[in-house]
Amino acid sequence: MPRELVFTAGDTQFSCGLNKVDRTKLYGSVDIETIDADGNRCSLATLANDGKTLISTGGTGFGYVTPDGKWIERADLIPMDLDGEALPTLPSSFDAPIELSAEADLSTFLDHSIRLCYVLDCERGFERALIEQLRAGTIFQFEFLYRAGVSPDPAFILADADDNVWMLVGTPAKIDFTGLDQGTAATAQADADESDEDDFDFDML
Amino acid sequence: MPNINLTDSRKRDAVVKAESTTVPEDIRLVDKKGNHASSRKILQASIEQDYDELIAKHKGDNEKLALQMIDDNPEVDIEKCGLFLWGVSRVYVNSEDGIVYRIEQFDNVRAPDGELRERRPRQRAEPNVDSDIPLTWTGRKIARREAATRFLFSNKLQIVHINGLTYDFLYGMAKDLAESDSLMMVGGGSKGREPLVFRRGSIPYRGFLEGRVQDDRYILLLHLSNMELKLPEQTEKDASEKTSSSQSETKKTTAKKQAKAKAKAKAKAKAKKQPRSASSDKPAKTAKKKAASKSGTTRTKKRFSAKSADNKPDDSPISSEDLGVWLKSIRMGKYLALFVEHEIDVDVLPELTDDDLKELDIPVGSRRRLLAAVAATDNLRAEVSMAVNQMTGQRDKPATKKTRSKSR
Repeated sequence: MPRELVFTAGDTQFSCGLNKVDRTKLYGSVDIETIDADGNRCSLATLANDGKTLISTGGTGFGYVTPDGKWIERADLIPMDLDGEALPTLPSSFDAPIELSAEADLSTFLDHSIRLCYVLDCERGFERALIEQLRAGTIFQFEFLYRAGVSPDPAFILADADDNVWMLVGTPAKIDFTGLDQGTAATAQADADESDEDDFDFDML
Repeated sequence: MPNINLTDSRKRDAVVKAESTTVPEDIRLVDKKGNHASSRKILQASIEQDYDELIAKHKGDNEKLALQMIDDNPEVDIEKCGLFLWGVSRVYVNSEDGIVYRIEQFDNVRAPDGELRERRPRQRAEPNVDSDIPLTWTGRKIARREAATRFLFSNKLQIVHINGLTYDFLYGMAKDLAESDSLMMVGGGSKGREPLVFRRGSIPYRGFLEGRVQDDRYILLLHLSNMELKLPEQTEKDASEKTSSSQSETKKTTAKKQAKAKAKAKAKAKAKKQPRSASSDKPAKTAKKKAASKSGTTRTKKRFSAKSADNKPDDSPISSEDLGVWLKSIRMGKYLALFVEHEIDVDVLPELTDDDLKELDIPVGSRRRLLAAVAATDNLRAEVSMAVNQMTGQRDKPATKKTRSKSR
């Protein structure tokens, strides 16, 4: 049975299944077929920098090294924030009830880029009061962690025009008000930062 | 991000900066001494240690392979495993693990249920966002609240000024949008209907411009979406089927039949309207083609007649790819995407007027070419099929040669 999230809204508690919705489920998908001159199928591989070692999908991985080049296991590393404070490991959101108390205004919600989209499936139906609240435009915000970890993602609960209840998981965007003087400085910075181009490399369909 | 060109409500355009809104990583991994560890890409197994390769050596016998893995570790190359990888290249390999230098790619377009809908030569969307092509102020606004619950904004860019003039320009735009409490749809093309493509082959997005102002400062955001916030069709069907299923199905079938009959009647009436000289020319041409195909004078024509008889009768569906082939044959291939976007298929195309094409922003030369090509045929479907089969014939030629040499 799929895991369910338990929510607390006021005095009531209810559990919901998560049904992930993505582009493929809505519009279908395009997969690229590659053939050679004889019409035989080809597959994508990685050619190492020695020019002869071929690596198929799944043949690479990531490892961690210290500044002096020594190998170190992931389990021996401590996650820290930029101030040098160790970050505690938080439980998965499936392991404890989520309290729906914090509300986000529309601007806060729009300040996030949404990565994951789930429609909530509540077998017993949502409380009428909750639906009324969502219908009136309330957006609930909470921290979401699919698995236990140190970095929860901001998540939102809202309802669409058909009263479907959605849970959207995103990442905050870096947005600031800009005055006359700030624009010029931003231009100079952006010119130097060519790596931002990668943000739009979404050629994965 | 490169500079972009943006048009305002007064149709003035200016080059401005689009900045990434991605927040940099704020977690560091350190060892017990507080040293910052970095991640490196490593080699785990080369293609020779791949499962497919190993199982092939054992002729599909998993048990034998398992035993060898216990004894000799054939899945680990001591010399290579763990090597740091950098400066790697992506290559295509064939089934013998040889690098392939000449490839052909196809898009397999699949429906949400995974069923193959169309196979077409690979299409890569061309970029239409840069400092030369202005993004049009469409004026199509949608309330912020409605937009937030209708579209999934998976990315966004902050638009900022590059000088004093563009500050006024963008501030005015942001103020206009903030006062209307709306997001405005932004797209490519002169009417802003095309999706935004930032790099060749990257995912096309629908753009929505949002403005906020605070004193003399502003935020102008370009929200990007490639997905609506809606239930998949199957989920919707499940819900609706519970209430009324059979009735709506009957209605749909009847409506489809009626539409088909109507289209046929229209086509007949149009054929009757054709001037005599044109209609008398066509049967002669068709007869010639038939004669040629019967006698087998040319390979292409023979192939065409056989295919059209077996696979493509007149009522067979003409895909957008087929239509694209025909459009290419009259040097109009670049308009296929526009026609697909506006749901113009082979049945609608003959009905288009000069005004319709004008509305699609097609220049006069191309309009004339298209209208002349459509007027020159009394059966566009057949013309499209012929163009497709001619192309298929050309594509098949090398293969035929090879088959011959093999048989020798």
